[in-house]
Amino acid sequence: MEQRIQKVFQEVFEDDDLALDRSLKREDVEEWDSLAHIELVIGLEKEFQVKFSTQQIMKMDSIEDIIRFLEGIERGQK
Amino acid sequence: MKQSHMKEILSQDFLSLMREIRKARRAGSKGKAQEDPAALRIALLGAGSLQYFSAILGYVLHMQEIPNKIYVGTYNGLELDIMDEQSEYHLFRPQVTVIFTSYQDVRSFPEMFAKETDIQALALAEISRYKELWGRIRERNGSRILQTNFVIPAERQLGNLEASHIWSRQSFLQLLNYTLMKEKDGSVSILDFDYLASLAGKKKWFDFSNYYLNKCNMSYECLPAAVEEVALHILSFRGHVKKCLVLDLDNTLWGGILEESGIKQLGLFPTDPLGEAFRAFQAYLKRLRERGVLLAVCSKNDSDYAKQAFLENPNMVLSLSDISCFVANWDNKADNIRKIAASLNIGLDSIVFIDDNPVERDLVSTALPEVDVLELSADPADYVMDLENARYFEWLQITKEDKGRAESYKAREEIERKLDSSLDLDAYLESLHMEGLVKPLDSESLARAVQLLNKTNQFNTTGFRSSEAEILKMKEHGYEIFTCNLKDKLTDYGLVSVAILKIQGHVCTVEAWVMSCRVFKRGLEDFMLSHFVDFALKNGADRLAIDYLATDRNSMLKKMLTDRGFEQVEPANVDNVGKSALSYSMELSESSFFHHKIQENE
Repeated sequence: MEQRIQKVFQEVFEDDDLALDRSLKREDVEEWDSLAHIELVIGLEKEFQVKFSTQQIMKMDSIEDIIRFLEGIERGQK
Repeated sequence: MKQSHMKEILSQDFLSLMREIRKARRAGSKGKAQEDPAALRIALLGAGSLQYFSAILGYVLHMQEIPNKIYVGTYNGLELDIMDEQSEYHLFRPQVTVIFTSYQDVRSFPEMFAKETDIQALALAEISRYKELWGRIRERNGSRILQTNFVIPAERQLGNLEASHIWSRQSFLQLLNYTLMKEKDGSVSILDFDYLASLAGKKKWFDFSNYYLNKCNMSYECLPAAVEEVALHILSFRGHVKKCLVLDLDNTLWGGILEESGIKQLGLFPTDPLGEAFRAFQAYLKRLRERGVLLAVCSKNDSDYAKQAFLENPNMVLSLSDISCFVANWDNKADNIRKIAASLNIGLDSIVFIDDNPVERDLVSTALPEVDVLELSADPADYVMDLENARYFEWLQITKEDKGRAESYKAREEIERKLDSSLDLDAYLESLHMEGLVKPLDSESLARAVQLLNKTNQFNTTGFRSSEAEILKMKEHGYEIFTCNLKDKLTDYGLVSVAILKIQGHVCTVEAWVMSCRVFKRGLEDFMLSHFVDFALKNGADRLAIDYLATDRNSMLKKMLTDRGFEQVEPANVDNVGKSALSYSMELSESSFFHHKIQENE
């Protein structure tokens, strides 16, 4: 899962060398502004075939958050 | 770049589109355009986050060779931007202002069971808010205004009963859209977003999460379609309009092949499903012709037999008189299309080619890159929507002159024929009993005059483009704006020329002059020049100067002027165009004379 998240980030930030760390937070990444956030959400939704809720999008501030939300959706689907 | 390419770009998914745009930005192509003084200045006002809209719009316009600069308005600050004289919006001096509205902006809805008169008053009050804004925009910057109508939401207070009561919320929004249509003035064009949303499907259009988070009125999926709407109108504003459909015959206008089936057996029987499909396509084309789109035929067929088919097959919906140029032979279609363009006196870039045969389409597409080629579906039942979805004819306004366009081409054809046979052209022109009327611009002629200024490319001396508000401003600042109407024994062509003149000391300068290509080579140039001379002499000028900015479309004018004795003088600075143009002038005297066969219309 982390690999796929990393791929989305690489595409949005246009950096093939971008390496994600579970501990990465939004405030640490300068380019992760509100516009990039929109693209990240759309990219993740497409990659994982899910739809995040408004609350989740608002509270998505780190890789940990993303993993947590994705796992939650996965559990809900089982 | 073809209009169909723009459509291709905009049908990508959102992320791929953004990627393409960012790649182009990195390649530096957009940066240069920003500095271009001729860049079209567009303001996007109203709703919320318009950054993506702005990025996509800027990109597609740039690809269509319209350098541009876009200002994105204050978040939810429509009134702030427009009413404050010192706002960044006003300082930006936009040439086009796009106002995004949504039903969430509506301040009050009618009470349940309200009376019709109260509902109408409420609607007028709601729209008066916009009238005030339009007025302010008109005063300050005279930009062309594009405003979205209200997209009727999917949620219904009364459920199905919304459609049964005039006081329902949905009925009120429909009334608002109707009122917008009635109350708008000449500087405003309505963008029918409700139609777009219906077309996409309101389930797809509305994305509430997106609205609450980013204040974006539509889903990202539908954003490109919304951009396309605005882009098409801006293309129209800039004169990039399609004017003519060149049509194949076999399996395009009728089922089957004429040579094989014969006239009576053409696939147009109303009782046959395919026949109905082709008749529906013909009916759609006929309606397009009615509003001023030219229809031409380009077919591999025997010319006389093909024309006979139009005349004799009882199931034809189009008649021969609907076709402004009929070319049927065995030559290659690219050559034929070139001939059609020359005959109709239009550019190749204003032509759309429609042919069921993909091989023919490919040939034309490769040989004539400026011609737009419609990707016709294999199923004739889909022809109408194929053409509709291509959206080639999104004009900013429609006038009575558009309606009469096809007829005027008949007279042109006659003239061309006379010119070819070099018989007595003068005698022919005399026999037309032409009557011209030159008069100052007035409120009635304003819409048509501006339309002509903005879409004429060939007879256009300086490429001057303008909005209605800007033209009125010029009148106030000492410019004299003349319009010329022409009619002859065949038809009334309506308003066919506009000229902007200014007297400065002893020189009368024609700073802009456009003429419809429908009325070339009849002496109208001379008729108008005579009027310019009169005007100049009456106002104390003894020199008539015509500003001229050469483009790849208007080279005919140089010859027109030099043939009549105008001489090129030093370059002139044309304020309205922003760059230096040439000046062709001549000394005037009481005996300055231009020969023509046009009577004054008293």
